[in-house]
Amino acid sequence: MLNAFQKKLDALTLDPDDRFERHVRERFGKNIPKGLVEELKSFIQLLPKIERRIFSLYVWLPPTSKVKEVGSHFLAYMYQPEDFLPENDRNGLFGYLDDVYLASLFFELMIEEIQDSKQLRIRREDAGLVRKVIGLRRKARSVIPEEAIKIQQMLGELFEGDETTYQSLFAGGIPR
Amino acid sequence: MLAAFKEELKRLAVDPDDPFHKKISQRIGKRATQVLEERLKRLILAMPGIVKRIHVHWTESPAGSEIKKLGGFVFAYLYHPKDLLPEAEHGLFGYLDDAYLVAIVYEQVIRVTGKRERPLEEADIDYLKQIQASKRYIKAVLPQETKKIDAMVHKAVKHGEFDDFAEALRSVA
Repeated sequence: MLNAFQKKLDALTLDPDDRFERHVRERFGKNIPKGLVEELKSFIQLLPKIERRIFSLYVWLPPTSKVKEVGSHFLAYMYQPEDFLPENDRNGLFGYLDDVYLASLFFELMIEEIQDSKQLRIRREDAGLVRKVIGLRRKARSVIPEEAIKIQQMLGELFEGDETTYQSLFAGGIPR
Repeated sequence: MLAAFKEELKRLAVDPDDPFHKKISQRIGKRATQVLEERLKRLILAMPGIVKRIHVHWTESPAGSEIKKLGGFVFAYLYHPKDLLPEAEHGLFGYLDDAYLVAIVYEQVIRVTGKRERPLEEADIDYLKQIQASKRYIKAVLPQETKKIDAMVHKAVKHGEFDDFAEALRSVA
């Protein structure tokens, strides 16, 4: 499934009719920093890779792991097109910016837990990926600030065992 | 992601170079009729919709419940790049084991929600009918793989033991 997903993202990235830049301009204003659009696109392109790494680490975590518990919510979230930025024809590639924001944040928390508990050895490329996504996430936050706050809130709640924001999202509306 | 998955399945289903018929024939010889192949294809194509229904029930279920655990494993299982029948090698046929797993977990999910005495939605009734009509065909084509999956799900549902699920996921991670 991740291969199919990668193909879809590649196609959207190359699609001349995709309105990614327009969405960024609408959110950020006219004076968008040079290179921001390309950086955000490259961030979204990392999504299948991040998901692959999350899956690979997820299956080795012990059942008592908090990250593992929240992990099934994360995996389920990724299947849903109706989220903070719906994945539809209008949003195109832009509709995946919230997904990569969440995935990268979850991946970082996952690596932190593994480091703290010394359950698994962290691969050098995973540590590098975390460093890379921290910077890209900051840039994404400048474009989708409200969604970023909600995503952080949702993830924080899930770690506390609270599904309020998560449930609201799929029940037809995010609490404001 | 589910939309991309659906598009890919649709594409494979109409791809003249996809080895679906060949793979089925290799497994069951002349019993590979058009009706059988169509049933199997329909179930594979229904998989994204069934996953969506599992997610609906999963979201409504309390933490720690049977549905939460089962659903969690299915969501993880579908992420794997290579399973009992790797998709890259087998094309659409490679999704048959996934479709079977999704179908029988979905039946369990419905069984549990049925216990809560809630009326089934039309979508659930349709998918259940489709699964009932296709299951024995998948078993005929993939006897060993379906036995493994049945045992894995049975152990999880009857005894609350998810070790086989975890092991299956680790073997492909």
